[in-house]
Amino acid sequence: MTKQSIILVLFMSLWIPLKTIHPLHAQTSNNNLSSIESILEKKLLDPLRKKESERSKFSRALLPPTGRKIRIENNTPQTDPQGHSFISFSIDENRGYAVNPQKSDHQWLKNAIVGCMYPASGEVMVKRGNVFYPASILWGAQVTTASLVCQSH
Amino acid sequence: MKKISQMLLYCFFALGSILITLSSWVYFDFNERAPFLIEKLPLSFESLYIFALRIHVLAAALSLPGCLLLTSKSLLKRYPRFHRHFGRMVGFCILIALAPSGFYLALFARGGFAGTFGFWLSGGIVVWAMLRAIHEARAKRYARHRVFTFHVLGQLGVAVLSRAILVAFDSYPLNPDLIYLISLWIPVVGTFIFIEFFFSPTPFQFLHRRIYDQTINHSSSFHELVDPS
Repeated sequence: MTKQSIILVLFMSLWIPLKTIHPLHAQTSNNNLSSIESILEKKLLDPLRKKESERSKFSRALLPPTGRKIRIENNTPQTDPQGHSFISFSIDENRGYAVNPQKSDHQWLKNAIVGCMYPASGEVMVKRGNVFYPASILWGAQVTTASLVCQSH
Repeated sequence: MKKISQMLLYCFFALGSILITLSSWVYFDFNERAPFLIEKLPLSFESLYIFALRIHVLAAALSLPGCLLLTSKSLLKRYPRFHRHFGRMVGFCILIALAPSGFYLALFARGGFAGTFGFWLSGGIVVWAMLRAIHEARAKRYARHRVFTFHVLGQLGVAVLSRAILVAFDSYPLNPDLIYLISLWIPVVGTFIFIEFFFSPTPFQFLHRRIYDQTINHSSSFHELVDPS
């Protein structure tokens, strides 16, 4: 055996176990984050975009933004007074076509939509003023306020 | 050139009025909340707000096209009675429905107090100009009546101008509240100044009169001080 092949075998004998015993909690949190974002995309942003595409431009309501991004600052679930665990999120909006969304972070309108998501049920709540509504309020559903949600116990 | 520019202006406001009216039908959908209403949530008296909004939209749908029609000189010459009766109807609609509902809705305007005050100023100009227009028409001073009705039309046209500015500024990454205030205040103040300068035979006569009255009062009190007899 040549020296290079010995070194390669040694490297592989170390690398393969390291990959297989990679801490699961790190992978789980990354996967968890991406699954939360995918749920928010599916349950909040996609219906909202669909509704906005049908809207008239000649309303006094705010015109739809050019882009949105989900921001989850703390992906550790909290527990509300009813004992359900939730994760808070914020959605930033980008307005204007003269901005490169990837570079100009300071030009994003922060916390345009704030709310929380219940991972167990997949329910998404959004905050308007000081009260919370189901996310469907944003595309016009006739829903009422929800109490004791999105507030840690 | 003047006729062409006038025609273009009327077409702009007429088209804007039609587009706004068409986009306002969403406020009459009982199964859905309009985006404009969602922005205002939470509302303490949501039913009252929706009622005022519907009254305001219906009144505006009649008032703006009605005012455009009433400014037509050919219609006035051919059908003066229609002009009088329709004018009374539009004036009634503005004073009883449009302005009061607008004053209430302004309490919830975007942009905080600046937004509320901007709408109140516009509504105040509409009410003042409408009352003066009625007064001048009854006194048969038709030139002044025309100026005041142009003020009413101008302020109603703010609805079209501000939406045009909102659409134009949409491509700029500015704070939405700032854009909203700009799109409100520039048309309100600019329209008033424009109409006073270009349509009034004596621009800002009300201001000149106040200055004149105060000057006379000061000079008469000065004379009393110098020569009490």
